[in-house]
Amino acid sequence: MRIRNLRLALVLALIVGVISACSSNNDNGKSSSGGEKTTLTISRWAGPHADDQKELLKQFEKETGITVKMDDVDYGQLQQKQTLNMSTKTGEYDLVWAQEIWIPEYIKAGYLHPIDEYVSNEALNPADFDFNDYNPNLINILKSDGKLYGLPTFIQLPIMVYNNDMLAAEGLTAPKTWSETLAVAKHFHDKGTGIALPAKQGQAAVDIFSSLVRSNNGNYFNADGKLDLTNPANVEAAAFWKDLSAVSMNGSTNWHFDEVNKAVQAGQAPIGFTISGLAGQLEDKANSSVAGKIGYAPIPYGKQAFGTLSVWNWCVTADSKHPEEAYRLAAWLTSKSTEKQMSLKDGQIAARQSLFTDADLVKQFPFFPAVGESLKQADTQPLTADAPKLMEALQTALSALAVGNTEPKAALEKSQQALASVFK
Amino acid sequence: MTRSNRSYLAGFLVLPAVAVVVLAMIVPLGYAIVMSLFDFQIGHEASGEFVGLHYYIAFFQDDVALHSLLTTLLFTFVALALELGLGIGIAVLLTEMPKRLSKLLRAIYSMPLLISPIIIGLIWRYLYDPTFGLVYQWLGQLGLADEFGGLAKPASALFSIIVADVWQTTPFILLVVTSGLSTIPHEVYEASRIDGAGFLRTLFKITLPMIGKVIVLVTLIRGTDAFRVFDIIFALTNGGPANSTMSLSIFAFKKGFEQYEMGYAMAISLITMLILILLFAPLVKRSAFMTRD
Repeated sequence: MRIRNLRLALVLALIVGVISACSSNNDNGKSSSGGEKTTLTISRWAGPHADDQKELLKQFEKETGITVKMDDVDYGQLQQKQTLNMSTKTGEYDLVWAQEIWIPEYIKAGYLHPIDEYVSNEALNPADFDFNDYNPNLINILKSDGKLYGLPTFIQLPIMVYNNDMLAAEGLTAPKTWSETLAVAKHFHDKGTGIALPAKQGQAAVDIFSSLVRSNNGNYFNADGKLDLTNPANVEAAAFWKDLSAVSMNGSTNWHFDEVNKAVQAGQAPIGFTISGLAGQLEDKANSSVAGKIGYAPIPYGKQAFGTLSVWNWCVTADSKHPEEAYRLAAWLTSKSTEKQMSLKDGQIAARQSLFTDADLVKQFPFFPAVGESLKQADTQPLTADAPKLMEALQTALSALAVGNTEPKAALEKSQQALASVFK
Repeated sequence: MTRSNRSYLAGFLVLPAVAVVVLAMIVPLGYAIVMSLFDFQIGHEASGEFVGLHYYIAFFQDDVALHSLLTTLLFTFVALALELGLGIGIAVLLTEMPKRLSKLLRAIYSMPLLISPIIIGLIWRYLYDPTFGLVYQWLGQLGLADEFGGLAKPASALFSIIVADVWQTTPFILLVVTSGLSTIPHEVYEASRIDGAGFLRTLFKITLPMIGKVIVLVTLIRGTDAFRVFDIIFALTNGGPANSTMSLSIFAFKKGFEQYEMGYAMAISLITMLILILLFAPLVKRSAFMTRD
C-alpha cells in the first residue's frame, strides 16, 4: 500500500512538474531551434564593471528565462581567449565584448554573425530599443560590406584629471594646452610628485599619443593614405610626450591607466591622464579620498582638443548555437534603460546619445561634460587590418621616449622604417 | 615464449605510449613546422599563403627579435645562477639545522611555489611600485630609493624581474636538492668528520659531487623553464620599458595574438625550441635519469 502511494505521489509530482514547465515563461528561454532552455555564454573582461553587469543580468534572466553565464577574464587575456574560442569554432561563446580595434580582424576572420535581420525584428528588441539613438559614428565602425556586426555599448576616452585642492594650494589652475600642462607638471615634479602618466609600454600610451597628434593637426597617414609618422606635427607631439614623461611621477613609465587612477584616488597625484571608464572610481566616496575634489578636462592640446575614442561592442559569434537569443541579450544590454542603470552604478558612458546628457547621470558623474567635450572631436585608432602593427611600433617608440632612451624624430623614424614593408 | 615473441609482445605493449607521444608531441610539432612556412591567421589555416623560410630569415633581420633573444639568454643565465646558488646553499644550510626547525623553514620557503606566476607578477608589480610599493619604502629608509629604477627604467627592469623570479622558483630547487641530499649516506659525513674535513671541504668534496646528477637535472628543468619565461614578464612589464624585458615568448605572443602573424609566432617558437636543444642537450645526456650507476 505504501509503495503504491509513493508511486502515485511520484507520478503526480512528475505531471505537475511537466505542466508547470510547459506553462511557465511561455516561449521564454527556449532556444531558437525550439529545444531546451537556453543558456548563453558571454565573454568580457573582469572587474567591478563586470560585477555590476552580472547583477543586472539577473533581470534579463527573470524577464526572458534565458540563463546567462559570464566568462569574465583579465583584460590582457581577453582577445587571446576570444580568438582561440572563435577560431576553433567551439561554439562556447554566444556573445563577445570586443574592442573596436579588434572588430575588423574578427569580421575578416569570419568570427562574427551579421545582425541586420535581428535589428529589424521587433520581437527580439526591448520596448525602449530605438536603434537611431545609437551614436551613428559608432554604428559605422561595426559595419562591413553593408552588414552590421554588433551593437556599441561602452565608450571610453582618455581624459585629464586634476586634484582641485592640490592645484589651488599651489595657486595653479587646470591646464588646457601643452605648455600649460608642462608648467603644472614641472611645478609638482620639483616638489616631489609630477603628472601621473600611463607611460607603460602598451596601448594606453598610444591612445594618449593619438590624441596629442590629432590635437596638433597631425596624422599617422598623409593625404595619399601613406604612412607618415615623421611629419612635423607628429614629431612635436612626440617631443611633448617625452618632455611630459620627464616631469612625470616616479614609476609612471611602468603605469597603465589603473595605476594612474590609484595614484589620483589616493590623493598622491595632483594631475594625471586616465580613462573615462575608470573615472567613476574617483568619485566613489567609499573608496576614494578625493571624491568631489577632482576636476576633469580633455587631454591637453597643441592646437585644439581631440579625443581618442574607444568603444566596446556586443557581437554575436558566428558559431553561436543561439544567435537570436544572443542578439536579444545584446539588444537588452544596450537598451536605454539597461545602459542608464549601468551608468548610474559606475559611471560608464554608453553609446546612447540620449543618455549622454541625461540629467541624473551628469549630476552623479561630473566627468561626463569633459568626456562630452572630448567627444565633440574624437576618432578611433586606425581600424585597418594592419593597424595592430602600427600600434605595436608606437608602443615601443613611446616607451623609449618616456624613459629617455631616444629622441622624438629618431623614435618615429625608426617606427616608420620598421613598418615600411607593412604600409607600402 | 621465444625471445623474438617476447620482443613483439614488448613492442605491442608500448604501442599506446608511442601513440600518445606521436599524437601529443610529434604531430603538433610537425604541424607547427609546416605552418611556420605559411602566412596565416588563426582559424584560417587553409587560406594561408606559402612564404617558405621568410619568417626565419625575418627573425634574424629583426632588431626586436634579436634583442629579445639576447634578453632571454641573459634572463636564463642570471636567474638560473642565482636560483641554483641560493637553492643549493639554503638546502645545505637547512640540513645543518635541527630537524624541526629545518622542516618549518623549508615549508615557509616553499610557499611561493604554491602561487601562480601571473599572481606573483601582480604581487611584485605592487611591491616595485615607487608610490605604493614596499621595495621603495625599504630602499627609502636606506636612502637608495632615488637610485633604484625598478621596473620603470630599462637598465634595472630585467634585473627586477629576475629578483621576482628567483623569489618564486628558488624553493623548487631547494626542495629537489633537499631530496638529493637525503640520499647521501650519513656514514660518509661521519668519516669526513673523523678525517677532520671542515664545512667547505665537506661541501665541495662530498656533498656537491654526490648530488651532481640532481643538480644537473634541476638545472635542466629550471633552465628550460626560464628560457621560455612568459607569465612573470607579461604581468610585470609586458616586455617594456622600450623592449628591455622582451623575452622570446612575449615576442611570439605579441606577433601571434596582437598582430595576428601566427606563422611568424610559430617560427619564433620553433627557433626558441632549437636554441633550447642546443643549450641543454648536453645536460640531458648527463642528467640522472639517462644513466644507471
